[in-house]
Amino acid sequence: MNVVNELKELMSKIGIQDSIVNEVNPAMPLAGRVMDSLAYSAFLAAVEERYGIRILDRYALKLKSLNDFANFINTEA
Amino acid sequence: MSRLNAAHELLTRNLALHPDKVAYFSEDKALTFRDLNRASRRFARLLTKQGMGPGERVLIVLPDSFAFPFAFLGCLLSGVVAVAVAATLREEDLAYIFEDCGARLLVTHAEFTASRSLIGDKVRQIVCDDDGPAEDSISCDAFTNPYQPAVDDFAYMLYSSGSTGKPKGVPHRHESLLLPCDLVGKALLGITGDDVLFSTSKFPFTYGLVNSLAFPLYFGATAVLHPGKPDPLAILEIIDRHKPSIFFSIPTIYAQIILSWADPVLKLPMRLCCSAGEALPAALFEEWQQLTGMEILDGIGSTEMSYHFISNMPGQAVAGSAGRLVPGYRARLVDDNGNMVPEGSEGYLLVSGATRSPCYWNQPQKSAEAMLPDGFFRTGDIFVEKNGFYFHRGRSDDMIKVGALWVSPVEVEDALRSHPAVADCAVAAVSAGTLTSPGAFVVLKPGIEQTAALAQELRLHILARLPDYMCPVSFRFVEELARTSTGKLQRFRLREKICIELNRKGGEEDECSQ
Repeated sequence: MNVVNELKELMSKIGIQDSIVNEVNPAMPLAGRVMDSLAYSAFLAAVEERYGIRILDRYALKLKSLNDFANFINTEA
Repeated sequence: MSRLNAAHELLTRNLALHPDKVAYFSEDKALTFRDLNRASRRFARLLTKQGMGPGERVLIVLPDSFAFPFAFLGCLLSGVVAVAVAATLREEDLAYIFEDCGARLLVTHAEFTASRSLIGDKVRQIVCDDDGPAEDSISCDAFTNPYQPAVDDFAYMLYSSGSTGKPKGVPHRHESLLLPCDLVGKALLGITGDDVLFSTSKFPFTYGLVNSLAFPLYFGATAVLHPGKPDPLAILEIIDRHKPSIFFSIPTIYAQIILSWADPVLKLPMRLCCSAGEALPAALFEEWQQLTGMEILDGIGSTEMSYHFISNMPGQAVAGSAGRLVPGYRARLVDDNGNMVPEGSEGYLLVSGATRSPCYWNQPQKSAEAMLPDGFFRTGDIFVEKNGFYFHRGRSDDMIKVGALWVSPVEVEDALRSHPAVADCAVAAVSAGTLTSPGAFVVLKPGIEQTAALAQELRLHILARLPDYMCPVSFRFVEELARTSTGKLQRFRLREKICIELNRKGGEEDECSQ
């Protein structure tokens, strides 16, 4: 399974509806469209735990889309 | 001896100067200072017709629409104490506040059926739509003789979350609305009648009340109201439509705007961007500056102090700092014994100034603990001061700020313990991106398996009982919890543990080590 699909699974696990997850454009920012601030924080925590990485402050505000997350994970994990 | 009536002061100065200027925009509607004055004075008359007298409390549960300033200013004009609470409040908190403040009248919105049914027929109600009371006030004469407040009279009261979960009433006198206008609005921000102000913080929060009610009326500026949820796309749409010159928001919203914007540059019309409600991380300050070319002026205030007592100044903002002491206030950083700490050392922040609330409502013990006899207020925040700049270092009481709202770990732990799989638990602040959120550490009962499905079940369990901002962003299963020899939870140890684990995996030092 590629990382974007794994991330979509994580989105489902933190409670985002499958119908929304299935429609996500991996290149578009998630904030304001798919996730509010609370869901975004839960998603970051889930990514850190799933991949055993720490998303430092200086990267956190640059991870806007699923593609951004996938590239970061492929580099860091 | 009497003092100025803040509502009368704020209304009359604009009526004389520019009655037909727009005081408020809300969605596609505009309200002039003349109409604001008339509607507020009619509301004051309506209150007296309902039998409300000076010193009695009115509970206001309204969205950020024109009806709020009518009701709030109407209360102050007639000497009634306006008790403003957030429309998003939990029913049990609303019921508690209603009993605690002893309100004799509820002012609410036609769509807020929960608040109306909760309080039911215990007291009279004035039901409003966005434009004011649905009936009655139209036939009222304007209230022309404002109440002359005595020195000890309260004008309004807001509620702040307590560490045990019960909100605390924070009463204020009329000058608490007016003084921040000079101390911060004029001296630091240079607000004038030419400004257009937009605050994402709502009226019932002290930051929003001063930003959207005191500042625009004091300076004859125009304010933009947003009754809805402050999601980043809606905020950007309002900014594009109304072109505010000063934007007041909180770190969570700044982060959401950055994260929602795909392009490398975001052009905005503001001359100032201000932040409060929770500490503004340096990375967020720098990312915003890179994206928009503007600095964010962070500041710290509290419900008890009415507005900022420490703030950055335009052109001199320091990333990661709450700024310098606002002239007119005094501050001390002290150790456990109340002794001043040397510059560069962590200390508990005490602050003093004329806007300090004299007490918590009905809470003599909590008042005595926080409101010191020498006029200082114990903020509960830990700061370091270097070269006159203050840097936030945490809390002394385990309280967590999420999107500028307080979360009591005790409340979340109580809700978690009601799940049949949970033997013990602790909730502590964990880092999520640049900001903090609650994280849960759970000890399961013997024989219960640690699974992702159980974590999700616990999440839903919390969401069914508490507002969503109180829900932990992570659920970590642990064998035991760090406690003192007397059995008290050591929540800070849990945060240290998670940071050490993740840093070992990530191989880098970061903000956890601060």
